[in-house]
Amino acid sequence: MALSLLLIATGPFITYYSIASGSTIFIWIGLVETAIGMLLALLKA
Amino acid sequence: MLVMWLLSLLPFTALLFLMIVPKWSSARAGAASWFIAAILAYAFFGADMGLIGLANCKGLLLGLYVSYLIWAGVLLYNLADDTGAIADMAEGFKALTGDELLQILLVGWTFVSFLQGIAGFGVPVAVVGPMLTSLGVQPLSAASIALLGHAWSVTFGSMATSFLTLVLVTGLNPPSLAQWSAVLLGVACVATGLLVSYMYGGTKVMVRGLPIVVAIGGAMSLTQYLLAALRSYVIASTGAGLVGCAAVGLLSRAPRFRRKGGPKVESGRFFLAFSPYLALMALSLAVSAEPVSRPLSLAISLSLPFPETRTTYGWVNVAVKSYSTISLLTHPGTLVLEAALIGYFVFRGKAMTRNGIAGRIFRKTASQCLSPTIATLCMVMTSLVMNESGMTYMLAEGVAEGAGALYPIISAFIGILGCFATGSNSGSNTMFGAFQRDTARLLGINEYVMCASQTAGGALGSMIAPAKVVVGTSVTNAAGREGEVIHRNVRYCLAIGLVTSIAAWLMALAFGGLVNR
Repeated sequence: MALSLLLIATGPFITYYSIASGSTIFIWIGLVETAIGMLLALLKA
Repeated sequence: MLVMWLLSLLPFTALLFLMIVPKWSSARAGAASWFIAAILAYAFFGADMGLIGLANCKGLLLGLYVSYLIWAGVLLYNLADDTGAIADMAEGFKALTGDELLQILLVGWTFVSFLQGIAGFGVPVAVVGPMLTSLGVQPLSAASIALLGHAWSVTFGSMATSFLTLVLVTGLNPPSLAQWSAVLLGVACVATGLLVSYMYGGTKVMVRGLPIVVAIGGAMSLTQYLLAALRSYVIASTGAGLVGCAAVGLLSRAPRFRRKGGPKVESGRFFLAFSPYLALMALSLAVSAEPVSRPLSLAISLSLPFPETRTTYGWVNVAVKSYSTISLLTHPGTLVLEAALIGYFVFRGKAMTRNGIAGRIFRKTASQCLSPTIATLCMVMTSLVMNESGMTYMLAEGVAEGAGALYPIISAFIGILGCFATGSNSGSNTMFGAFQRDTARLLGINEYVMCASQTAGGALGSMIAPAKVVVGTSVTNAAGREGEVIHRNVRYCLAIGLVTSIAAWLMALAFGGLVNR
């Protein structure tokens, strides 16, 4: 649960700063991180 | 068009289905709903990964604003509980009057509303349920009364979390929205008081209690309205509940209601128990003053600028310079933490704290708040993905075309439905706040009244929300009988919802006609 919260709470910020800096790869990393956090919530919450 | 409308309805229906049929937790169902919303936004609504990512980030900022408040509120409650302050409050109330109806109204209507003001998140039901059984109320009735009695105070309760969520989601002017909401919740306040009397003793007792309920309900509603009008949203429910408790206290001195014999109330300890909450009220009032709030809100504030985004279908989200500004020094969560600190030192000075209190309450708070925080973030992010991809607007457009002039009548029921699905007034407001605003705008109805009706419905939905009903039944030895409590409360919920909807409709007609603002 704590890991899920950590991923959900940090993934969107990685995406945000990637868009601001124009780095496409990190947009995906942020989105995937958010999705993994959501998946953990889906499986464990 | 119809297919797209049905698709935009899917995240909501999935959330409802998953919470009601397989009884998933709100965090789990919220996460599933987020996946559905993100996939639909990308596949059918022309949103790219950048738009979805930025929508997630906006949702996260809103969610963190609310979550900070949740953690601080639960921490303050745990401090009061650990030091015995909550137990002192309960003992004092029980010894106050010998009249059984007045005891029930005091505990199951005014005190539970006060607790909703300061704690919320199911805590009032958990505290008051056992108190009602100790007063001789049957377990199922105790759970039902606790759920019913606190419902009217939910919007401005929990440090006004639900109201502030609605403000953030809709972007409407807070003072205006607060006043409209307080009027509708005032109607609900008197109605819940009458139904608590009815649930306790039937029609005869309700008729006997009518003048008491109208007098106390009027005082609580007026207090809530005035505090909302003064922009003291955070203490509007707390203040109203406190006034209600004081009104019952005054009534209990009348010869008709006075207790004859029995234990005496130790007034010093009774009032000491309220010290952190009194500190919170003082802090909230101080911060609401313009000369204090302006420099403080500018001192440390966190916000992010967002660029313009658009879908391939032409739905545009305009650029914003600072989205969801969190002013740390004036944030309600900070005020609650300061009040907790003051309370801690007061209780320590009176030797009410036990060894290891800090570690104990922090651990308890963390375990209590983890799941609600995930649920809040998941649902707010779902809501923002839907908003930013144009799905919410499409939903509103469809409902507006279907309901037409009858929309004001169903607006509160949408709020009730949202609360039933998400388990909270905040969740309901997050899900349907922007939807109600957009629908009202499309139909040319006063958007403030419709959003007030949304939050009033969301508050009333608390009495049938499975997540809260489980709390009520588990603390009154009625575990496993949630269906009976929901079945018992649903008729009261729908009745008050109808009264509230009619009041909202009349308000929309009377004030400015069926036009905006």
